[in-house]
Amino acid sequence: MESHDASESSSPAPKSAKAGPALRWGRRLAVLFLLWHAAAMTFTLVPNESFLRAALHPVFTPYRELTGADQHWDMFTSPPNYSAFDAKVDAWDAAGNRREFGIVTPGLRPFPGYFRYVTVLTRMESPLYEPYLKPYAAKIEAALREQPGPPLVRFQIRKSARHIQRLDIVRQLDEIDYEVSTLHGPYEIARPR
Amino acid sequence: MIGKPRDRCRNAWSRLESFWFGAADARVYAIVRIVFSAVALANLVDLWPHRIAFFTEGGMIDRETLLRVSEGKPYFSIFYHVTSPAGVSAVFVVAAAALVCLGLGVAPRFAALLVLLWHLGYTQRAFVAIHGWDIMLRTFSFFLLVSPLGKPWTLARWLKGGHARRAELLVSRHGLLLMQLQLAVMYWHTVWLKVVDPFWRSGEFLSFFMLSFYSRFPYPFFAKATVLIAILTYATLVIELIVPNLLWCRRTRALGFLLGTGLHLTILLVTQIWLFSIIALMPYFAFLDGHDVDRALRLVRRRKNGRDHELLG
Repeated sequence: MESHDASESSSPAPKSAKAGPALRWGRRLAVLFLLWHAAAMTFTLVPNESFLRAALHPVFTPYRELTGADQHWDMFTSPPNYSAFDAKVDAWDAAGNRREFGIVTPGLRPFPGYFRYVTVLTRMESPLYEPYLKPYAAKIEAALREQPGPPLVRFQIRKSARHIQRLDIVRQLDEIDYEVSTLHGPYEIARPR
Repeated sequence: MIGKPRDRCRNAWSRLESFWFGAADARVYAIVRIVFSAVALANLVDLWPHRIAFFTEGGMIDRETLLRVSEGKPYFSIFYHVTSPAGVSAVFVVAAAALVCLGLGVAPRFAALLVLLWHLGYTQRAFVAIHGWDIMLRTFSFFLLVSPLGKPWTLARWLKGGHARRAELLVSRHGLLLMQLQLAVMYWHTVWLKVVDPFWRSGEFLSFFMLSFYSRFPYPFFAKATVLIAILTYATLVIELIVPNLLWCRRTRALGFLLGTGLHLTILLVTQIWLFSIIALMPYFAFLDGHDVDRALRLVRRRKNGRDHELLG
C-alpha cells in the first residue's frame, strides 16, 4: 500500500503539456456530457405529479433507461404491512381432494422466505406488475399438469400474510399481527387434447 | 467592451472545466472500486440460489411479458437471449469473474464494462424482484466505467511492489463528483417522498418497520416506546437530509461518516436486509480525499507497529 501526499483540493488534474485542439474539444464535450448526466440524475428529484416532470420526461427518460440511471428511491417511504409472509399453491383433483405445492417455478418448489419473492408476489397485486400474474399462473398450471397421481383440475395461489395491527391495538393487546390471506384464482387446469 | 462578456464566458467555462476535472487522489477511486466490487459480489452471491426462478424461461418472471411491457424502451439484457439454467449460471459466473477482476484492477475498464452490462441485464430482466440497492449498484457500475481507474492498489502494482509515482496518484475527480451527487440524490429523494407519508410525519414509521418481517426483533415494545420511536424516526430523516452536506465539507466529514454509518450499521444489526446497509455505505467512500486516506494509512501503520513492538517485547 502506498502513501503519498497527493494534495488534490485545488490543483488541476494532470494533463499533457500542450493541449491540442482535439484534446480541448474533447474536454469541452466531456464537460457537456457530465453536466447532462448530472442533470439526468437530478431529474429524479422532480416529483412525479409535477408539470415539470411531464415536460422533461421525454428529454431525460430514454437516456436514463439506456444508461441505468433511471431511479426512484421510494423504498420504505411508506411503512411495511407484514410481519410474516408465506405463499402456497392449492390444487384440487376431480374428486375435490386438495394438494399443496410450492410457488417457485420451475418445479413448484416451496416459498424460500427470501425477501425478493415477497417483493415479486406482492408487486403482482399492483396494476403496474399485474401483466406478469397470468403468465406466472400459466407456468404453475403447466407444472401441475405434469404432477403424478390423479389429474388436477383447478388451482389457486394462496398468499398468507401476518398483517401488522394498528399500533394502538398492539399496545392494548400485545399482539402484533393478524392473518390475512390473498387468493389468486381459482384457475382451471386445461387437459391436453 | 465586446471582449468582456466573451472573457467572462471563457472564465466561467474554464471554472466549470476545473470543477469537473480538478485533481483527485487515485487511491480514493481504488477504494471505491474495491468496496464496490466486494458488495456487488456479495449481492451476486445472494442472488445465485434464486437465478433459476428469476432469470430462466421457466421462472416466475415471464420473459415474453417483460419484452411486451418494455417494448420501445432502450433496454438491454443478456437474459433476454440467455434463458436456459446452464446459460444463466454461466452469465453469473462471468459477472462474478468481472467483479473480481475489477476489484483487483485487472483489465479494469473491460471489467467495468462487463459489470455495467451485468447490472443493466439483471435489473431489467428481473425488475419485478429488484430493490433500491440494485439500482445503486447499477448507477455505480456506470460511474466506474467513466472514471479514471488508476494504478494504485491493483494486483499488478502489488505483484510489482513499490509505490505509485505522485503523477499516477493525481487524476480527474469527475467520477467521484458523480458518485457524490448520486448519494445526495438518493437521500434527498427518499426524504422528499417520506415527509408526506403520515407515518413518517407522526413518528410511528419505525414501529411498523421494527414489527415487520424485515426486523430481527419484532417485539410489541416497538409499538409502546412511542417517544423513543418518534425521535428515531425523525432522526433518520434528519440524517438522510444532512449527510451529503456533512460529507462534502472536510471539517464535518467525520461527523457525516459517523451519522451515516451509525444509521446503516444500526439497520444492519436490527434487520435482515444486510445487503441494503452495506451497499448504501459504499458511496460514502467517494467523499474521501487524499488526506483522509493518508490519515487512515498512518493509523493502520501505527497500530501495526504497536502490535509488532508488543510481539517483540
